[in-house]
Amino acid sequence: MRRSLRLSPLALVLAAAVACGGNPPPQQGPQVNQDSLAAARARQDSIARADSLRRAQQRNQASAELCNRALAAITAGNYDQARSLYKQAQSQYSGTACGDRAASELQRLDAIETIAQRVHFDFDKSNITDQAAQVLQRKAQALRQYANLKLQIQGNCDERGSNEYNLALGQRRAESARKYLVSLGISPDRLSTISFGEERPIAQGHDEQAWSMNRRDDFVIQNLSASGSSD
Amino acid sequence: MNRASRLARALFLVLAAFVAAAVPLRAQQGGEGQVRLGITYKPGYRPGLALPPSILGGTGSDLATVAASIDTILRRDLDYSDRFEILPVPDSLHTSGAINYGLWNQLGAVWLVATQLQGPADRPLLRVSLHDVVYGNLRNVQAFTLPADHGEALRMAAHRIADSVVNWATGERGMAATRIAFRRKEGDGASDLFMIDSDGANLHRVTHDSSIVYSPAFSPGGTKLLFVSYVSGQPEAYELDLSTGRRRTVSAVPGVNLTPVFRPDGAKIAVARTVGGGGTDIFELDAASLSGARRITFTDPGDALNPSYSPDGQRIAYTSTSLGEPQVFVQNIGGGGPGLISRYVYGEQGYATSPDWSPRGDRIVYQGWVDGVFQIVTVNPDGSDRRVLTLKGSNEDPAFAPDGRHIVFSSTREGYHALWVLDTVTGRVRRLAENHIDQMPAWSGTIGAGGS
Repeated sequence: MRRSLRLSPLALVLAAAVACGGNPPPQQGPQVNQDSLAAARARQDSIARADSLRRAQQRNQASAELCNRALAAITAGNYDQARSLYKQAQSQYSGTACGDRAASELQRLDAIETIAQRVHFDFDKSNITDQAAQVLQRKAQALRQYANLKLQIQGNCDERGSNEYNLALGQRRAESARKYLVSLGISPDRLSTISFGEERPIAQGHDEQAWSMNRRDDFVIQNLSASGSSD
Repeated sequence: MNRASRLARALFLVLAAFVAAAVPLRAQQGGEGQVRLGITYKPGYRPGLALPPSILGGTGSDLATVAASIDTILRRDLDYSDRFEILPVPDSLHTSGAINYGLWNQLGAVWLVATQLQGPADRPLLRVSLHDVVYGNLRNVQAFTLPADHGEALRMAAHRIADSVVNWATGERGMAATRIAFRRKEGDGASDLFMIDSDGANLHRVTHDSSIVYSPAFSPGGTKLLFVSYVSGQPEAYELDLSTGRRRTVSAVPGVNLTPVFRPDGAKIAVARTVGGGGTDIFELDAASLSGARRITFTDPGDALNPSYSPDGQRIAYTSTSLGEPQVFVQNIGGGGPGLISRYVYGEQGYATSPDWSPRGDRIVYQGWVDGVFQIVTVNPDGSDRRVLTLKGSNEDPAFAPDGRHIVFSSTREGYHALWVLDTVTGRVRRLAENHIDQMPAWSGTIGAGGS
């Protein structure tokens, strides 16, 4: 027992060499108990397989974690963060599910960013401005490419005006964008609307700069985890 | 004393009281929550009223506690009625035995309210008499049985007594026995409905949704609230039974469901909701069955909202964008074209919303832009006799009290939206609730007055 115990580090080195694809070393040196050596080798082989499996699993997990964090970043509107996470997956985790789809996710991210871009309105108005029309046209293109994405269009107002009237105005603003997208061929089934009136300002000031930021439609993709592009 | 000299004496006393009243009024300026506006109001004459402490018709600390509580509420309510100058009463003056009108006269009192509280403490009886000091006679007397519950119910009983005194003295309706429902904004943008008595006491929370709520409106008897909530994810209109807590959906079309109100007889509900073109229009439905929805405005693709009924239920005032910008209109429900009642200047950006028709029928209040800031404005139902009632801060969401004289509104005069009560006759303003972002107040009818 003592001898075999003393020899077991050697067995481990041998086993590792086998696992790493090296040639089996020639049998030499003192006689050992073949049964216990084989058992130790088998044990070490199985440990090595488990290690390798575990490393692959850990790699897959770390990679999947990147994709999850990227999705969370997209949900929070942090597109740059999502982009760098996908790029990290792409460069460090090729061969994993997340690493392999990172390239297409980066493309989809561009589309998502286009779709999520806000459009703005003039004071007490709900008509689509020329500038907003250009933004909506780019959105329509991205929506055509990613035909499974569904949108909630959220109409918002600045703090001036009555809260109640602003709810109605916000609804009209959401509806204007929805109609424009439908006119560009986007299915109405993919577009829902809601108004938040003046309840959700993104700029907190009390001047025209803040007000113009807050007079807007937000475009919230409701099924971000839906997969891939349609083409 | 002959008739002529009595009249002359009365006139002198009225003048004397006016002079006496002017001094404490000036002293009040700049005091806590008391702001006198210089624009629309004449310095209204408020006759002096003395309300000495209740005489106890029995012993026991319980009875004395009830008396102190009733005295405090009555004095505050009568002050907040804005019809009287409440006089300080020296300890030497009391109302046991025969009333010495001459002494009360010298104090400047035109009215004397004498109260006597009799046991038992768990079911006390308050005898209230109103004396006309000028004419030296008893105007009215009534005994009120007070509730056994010394909390909310006792407070409301005291409010009703104050309203009786106002009615005896002026022939008009008081507003003490009422509540104001409103929305309070809390952290992270969520809001819930709250309720407070007309005197600013008994504040309590009504909903616990931590969602977004809008536009509470009372049923005629004050037993139900209509309101809008995002609790389902979309702005939908609900009815809440305040006694049972039961809730039901009143209007839930896709889009928005806004500003539900009861018709003054309680039989119908008017609500604004999204129609085909994306705008909103006002619909009227049966209040019990919620069926039979009938569209009564045709503004889509613009917006019509904020319906407020005339007391007879035949007309509504509402906000409409039919001129391009929101303005206030009145129209017959049975048909007929809408008439503009807010101030509209062609080529000038205007903005007027949120009308509320006085329960007396004579005025409509709304919020209108004055130099780009919202002020509280009243007009006759045909739009004539426009009066701007506020100056300071942005003043929004006005609602009339059942007396048709007081208006509650949300004002930023102290930096953020808070609720204030304005007396349209004297211009006195008081803060209703402290230190929160409060908006969209609704004033109930008289509570427990059998559907008035």
